[in-house]
Amino acid sequence: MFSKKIVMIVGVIVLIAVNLIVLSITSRRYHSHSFEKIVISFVAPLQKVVTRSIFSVRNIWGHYFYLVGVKYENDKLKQALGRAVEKNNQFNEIEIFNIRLRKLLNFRKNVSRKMLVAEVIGKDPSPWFKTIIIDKGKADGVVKGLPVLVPQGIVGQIIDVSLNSSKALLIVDQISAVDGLVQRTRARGIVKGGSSGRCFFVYALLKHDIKVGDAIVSSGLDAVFPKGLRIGRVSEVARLNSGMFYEVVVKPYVDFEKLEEVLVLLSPSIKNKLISDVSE
Amino acid sequence: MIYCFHICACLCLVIFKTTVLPYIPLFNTFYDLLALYVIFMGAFLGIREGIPVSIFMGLLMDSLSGCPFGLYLTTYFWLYIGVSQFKKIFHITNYIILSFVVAAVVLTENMILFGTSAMLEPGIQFSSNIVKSFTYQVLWAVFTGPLIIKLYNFAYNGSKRFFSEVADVLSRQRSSEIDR
Repeated sequence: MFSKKIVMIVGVIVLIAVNLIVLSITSRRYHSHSFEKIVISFVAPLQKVVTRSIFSVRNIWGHYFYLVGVKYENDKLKQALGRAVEKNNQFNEIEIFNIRLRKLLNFRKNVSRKMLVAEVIGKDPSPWFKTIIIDKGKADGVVKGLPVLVPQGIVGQIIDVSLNSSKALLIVDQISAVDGLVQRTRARGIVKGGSSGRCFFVYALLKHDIKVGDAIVSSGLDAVFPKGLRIGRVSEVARLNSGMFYEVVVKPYVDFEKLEEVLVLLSPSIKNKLISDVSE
Repeated sequence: MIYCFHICACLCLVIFKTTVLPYIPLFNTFYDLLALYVIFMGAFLGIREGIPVSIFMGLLMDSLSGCPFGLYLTTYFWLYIGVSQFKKIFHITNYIILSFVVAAVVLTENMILFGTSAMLEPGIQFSSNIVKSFTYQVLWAVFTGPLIIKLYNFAYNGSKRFFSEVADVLSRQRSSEIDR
């Protein structure tokens, strides 16, 4: 009835249509599949071995062959340590002051969460999407949705977990969103991932005051990241004549190119412990 | 047996891309080595090997990347179909044509991935960084792509020869056991 050519053309068109429909469905939200878990649990140990080998080669190079600048670096580090000790003293003073104030106000120390140190064993194979693979998984208590941090600030959150490894979505990925606050003015907005390692602080109302250099911290309202964690610094602010919101570009505190170890904040355990106990 | 070779090759390429390449400064803008594998399959292998392997590669990348599930599967599948159709018209093993095909495939793949990113975030702009990334990848691909494809072909032929020799030895052993 139909020639072979027509059947083939119709077949290709149907295939393309089905392909596009499936892609548009899967791109709306991140879905994890059982195949994905199998692949990660199979590939992650291999990635771990290769990454460890690279690090050990680099360590050997750094410790034994590359000692030219060590003396100079040592002097610099000693100076930095001196400054850090001085700063630490100041912080201790502030901490004692803070404890006294909290005691006065009868505040409770609200949330205490355990942290897990994980090693980054792989990065996203595509330059257009930003994820990392870490060497801790279900066996270590990691579950989907846990926040991932480094001392500099928020890294991202766990989106997929296998037995001994997990995949974390970085905050610079386009589908990432963190509820945030401008630390100085408490203006609220959403920190969304953007292109080329930047983020955007969206839905910040024009009535608030936002300046270049302002720090953005997590608001704690997204029920993923605890309140007050550092996200980034405002690098550009645009005030459009039409519209209700600012256009704010945020430069994250974390250098995502140099991530080697991260902290996974495990499920919260609420400690209703009075501050007097802490001071004791 | 030859599928084992393809699976091992894909895993090695993915692990190399996710663990080794990001730590080498000049290679952090390197193109997708698996896309080159797709070209190799399209140029030198038949549909029976090419389609299952490109689907496997797509699933592997979809699982390890943060992209929408099915994106790499789609990309590799249609790239394979495109290259295998292109082979019917042009003599693809020619070094110059191969350079052109490699550049076109790398560019197409990046356009598809960028298009999907733009779909996910409508405000995204075609910035200078993106143009730079495209240019670096295409340049890398033009100069190194044909050589890497030849390397894939060499490894493939070597492993095929090895597997057939192993199969011969095993069949000889079996027949001698039956004779006894």
